[in-house]
Amino acid sequence: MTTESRRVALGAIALAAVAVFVASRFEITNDITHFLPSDADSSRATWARELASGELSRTLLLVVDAPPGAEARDVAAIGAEFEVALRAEERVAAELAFLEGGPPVGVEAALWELYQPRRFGFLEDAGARTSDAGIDAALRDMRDTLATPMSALVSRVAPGDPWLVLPSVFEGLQSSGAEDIVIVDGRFLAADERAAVLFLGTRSASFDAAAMRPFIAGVQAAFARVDERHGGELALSFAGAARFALHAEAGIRSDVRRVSWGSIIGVTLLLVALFGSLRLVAITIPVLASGFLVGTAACLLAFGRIHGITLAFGAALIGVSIDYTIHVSCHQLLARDPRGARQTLEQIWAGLSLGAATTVVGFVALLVSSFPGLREMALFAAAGVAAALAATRVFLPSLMAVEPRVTPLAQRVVGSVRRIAVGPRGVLAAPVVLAVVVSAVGLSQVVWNDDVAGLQRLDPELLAEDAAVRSRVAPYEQGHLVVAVGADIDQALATNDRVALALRDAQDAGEVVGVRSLAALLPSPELQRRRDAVVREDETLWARVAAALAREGFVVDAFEPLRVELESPAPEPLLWSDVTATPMAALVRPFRVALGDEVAVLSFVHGISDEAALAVRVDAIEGAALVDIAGELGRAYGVYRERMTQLLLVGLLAVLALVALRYRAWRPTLVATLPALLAASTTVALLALGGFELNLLSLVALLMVVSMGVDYGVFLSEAGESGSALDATHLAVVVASVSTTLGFGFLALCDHPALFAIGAPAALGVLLSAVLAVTMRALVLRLAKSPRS
Amino acid sequence: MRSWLISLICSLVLACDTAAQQVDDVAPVAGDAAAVERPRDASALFAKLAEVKSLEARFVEEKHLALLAVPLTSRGRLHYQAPGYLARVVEEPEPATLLITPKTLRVTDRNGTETIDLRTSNTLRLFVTSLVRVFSGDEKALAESYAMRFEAPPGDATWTLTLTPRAAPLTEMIRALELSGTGVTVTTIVVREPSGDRSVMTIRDVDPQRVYTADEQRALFGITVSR
Repeated sequence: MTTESRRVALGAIALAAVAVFVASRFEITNDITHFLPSDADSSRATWARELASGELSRTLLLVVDAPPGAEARDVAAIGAEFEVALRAEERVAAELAFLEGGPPVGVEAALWELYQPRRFGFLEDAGARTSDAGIDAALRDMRDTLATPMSALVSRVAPGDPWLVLPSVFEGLQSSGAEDIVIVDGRFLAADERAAVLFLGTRSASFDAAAMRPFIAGVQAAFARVDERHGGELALSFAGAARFALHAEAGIRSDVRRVSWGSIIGVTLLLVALFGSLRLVAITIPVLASGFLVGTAACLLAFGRIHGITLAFGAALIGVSIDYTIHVSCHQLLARDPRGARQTLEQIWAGLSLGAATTVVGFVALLVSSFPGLREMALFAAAGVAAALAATRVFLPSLMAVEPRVTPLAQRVVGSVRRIAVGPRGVLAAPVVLAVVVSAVGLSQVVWNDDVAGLQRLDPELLAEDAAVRSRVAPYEQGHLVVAVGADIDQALATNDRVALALRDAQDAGEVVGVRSLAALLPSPELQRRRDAVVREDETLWARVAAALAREGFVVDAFEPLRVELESPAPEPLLWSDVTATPMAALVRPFRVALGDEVAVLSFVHGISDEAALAVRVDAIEGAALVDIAGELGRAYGVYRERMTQLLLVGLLAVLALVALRYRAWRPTLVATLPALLAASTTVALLALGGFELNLLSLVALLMVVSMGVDYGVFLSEAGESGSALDATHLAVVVASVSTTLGFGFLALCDHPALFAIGAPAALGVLLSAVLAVTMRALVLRLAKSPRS
Repeated sequence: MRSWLISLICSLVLACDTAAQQVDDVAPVAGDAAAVERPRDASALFAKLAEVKSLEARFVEEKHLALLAVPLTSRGRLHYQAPGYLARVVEEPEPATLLITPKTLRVTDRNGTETIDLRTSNTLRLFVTSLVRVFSGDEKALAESYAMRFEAPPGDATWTLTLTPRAAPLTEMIRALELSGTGVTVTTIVVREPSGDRSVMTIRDVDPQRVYTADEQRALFGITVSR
């Protein structure tokens, strides 16, 4: 076996090993929070990120509409039937964190047992309520109530609770519930009583498509069985993030397929047309496979799974990693070393290595980005490009034709570029001048879009269905939440005590219509202790109450339970863990979320009419905030985009340094780098003039433009001033840029906004880079040779 | 008083009150009670109740409560409109109105107005459903929640219908409802609580022919009548 054969065999074995690894570990995700900063500067942005991706997003609302005319009890029965079907469905049960189709059983008993012994801890305004005036007012109210049919309950509660604290707590329970849901026969129904309502929670994140796919399929299968039993007259509607994730995943898969096949077919046609043989296409396969597989493997190793956007980006990278094959092939075609392909490769290896190195260095700058998604793309690109270069060295010389033939088309391309390169100065200067003018005009008109929603593609039908379900049964704002954050739940509850007062004031001021708060049901332990102490430690209280009772015509002895309670030691306050150990857990669970290492108690609001005033009121409380999820993420995005720009500049400087280090002269350094930089600025300007908004991913695309543009510049700088090597390089730059533009052009045609954000600038920028690299190099050379210079 | 359980109890007790009004409603407005044939049994009584579409009556209620040194007395009017609207308007000693509709309970007193959606609690709804079933004379449904005993002394026009809750939570709130009447007229309702407290409501001036105008329906029951 020759050295070349051994090299190819070893390369093939290594490639196969990577392929096996990728196949065994391959897992795709579509979590859009991958493209949210992981170490947000502001706590608000962190909260917004956690709220967008955390426990709240794992809840699904299911609404089953009964046929018109169905009685409420029949609708309730359908809800019960569907719940049974859901629990029996294996794919649902495996993923189910909770399923509630009605209020929890035993909640009334739990309420009594938990609250009755601790009632003083729930006495709001305890100081005023236990004053003489407060006692008189309480007794008058009680007397009035006793005169009504309500006396049956009051007379049971009042002897130990003349302030009627427990009924107030029950009121808090009622107001903490979803207002547009009614209960019929123990089942949740929409207020119009025509649809059963169920709440489901999943164990996995809603963006975990692998987990959500069977789960949603299971829900639909369970519904189909119930629907069949009811003659196919039922209708199921969803609200929740899971289906959006599945839809996005399906879309991205489709996009990836389209980009991959488009790139492969396009590049194949291009190569066959230019080189007249499928052999060149065949020999690119190991190079492309190496780039793609190694990039994927690196991401799987580093992150455990790969994001769909990265995968699509990787598919586009096919067009990039093929550049090395093209460059080698063009030299083998037009400027080959008579000793063989390996020697031809050796002649251009320095340029290839430098080109690859500039690409890798450019992307390495992104590795320190705060966005997991960008780090993933950077790793994919750096590892993939390096692997493609290595595969070029390992595989290509052995697989290339010894004497490839030059097709007429290739000859025409070479001739055309040569004519341009030796053409009039004006022709050479025109693209450069035009690029400078366009940049000067367009750069000032760039509009940055930092809305994270702009990176997602939400199906309008699903969006409408989601909105309809929420407005029907859960009208509270999804995008605005009031958070009370603490190191632990007790601290968060203490903050929430203050939040509740602020929200009550906000309601009174008309800033918000409705509020769902946990405060009445579970004040902080500290507040409970304080209130209890006000009542229990007042040694004059019983005497004052007794005197007031006598004045108001009550039998004082009947209130003996109050006297006994006042003399008893204070009970331990009610804790979160006490409540969650009872059937009441289902009632309080939606209010608590983990925000990183902290705990937040949420308050839900609806009908915000004065967001600014509400925000001022809430934000004045330490540890609390009105979180506008989209707004906060957008602001964080803006900050990170600026930081990303700085990172990219660092990357560019590194690329420049690398090139300058290689040439140690300003002219070739300029020829290698300036076209790419001008192409990037022109691309931005053109997109801005075309009315396109740019985002964070556009920056990534620009980095690619610069990296690949510098490759072209480097190849041309290495090619010498004339002769077959320059012709070969010209051909290589044209073919490479067209093939890359094909890859990114297909990406730009994708439905997914994030893929478009990468594809459009990359395709445009790479094409401009090639044009400017060829013309600027010729122009610089011409100027260098002019008499004046 | 704004609470879920209180309104629940309210509904229960009102259910009793309402039953009384309806029985009155089917009775003759005037005439010799002894000459009027009394219902043979509970079924006959409910059958009569089912025929009533609206009524108005006056009431006097005395509450004998262990908490109070003297009984509380209140006076006012009852208004009923099928299907399932009842307004209990107290005129003395403190004006207050309690309105039950098929979906809500509304309390208006000197502290303001509170409306509670009866459908937010299944238990609460259960009580109100009982009420509606009394109005509609749905004996079968009522029998699911209450044991019923109908007593009529021989040779007398009077009778007593005792409803005893079968299970919790009704049993925790109420020991028995005793509806007494003459002929097909309910004259007294006694609500006995497990604590020993009781309220005695005496009903008079029943007008089972009362027809409420559209304005009255809106004012009293919140019913918007399409014209």
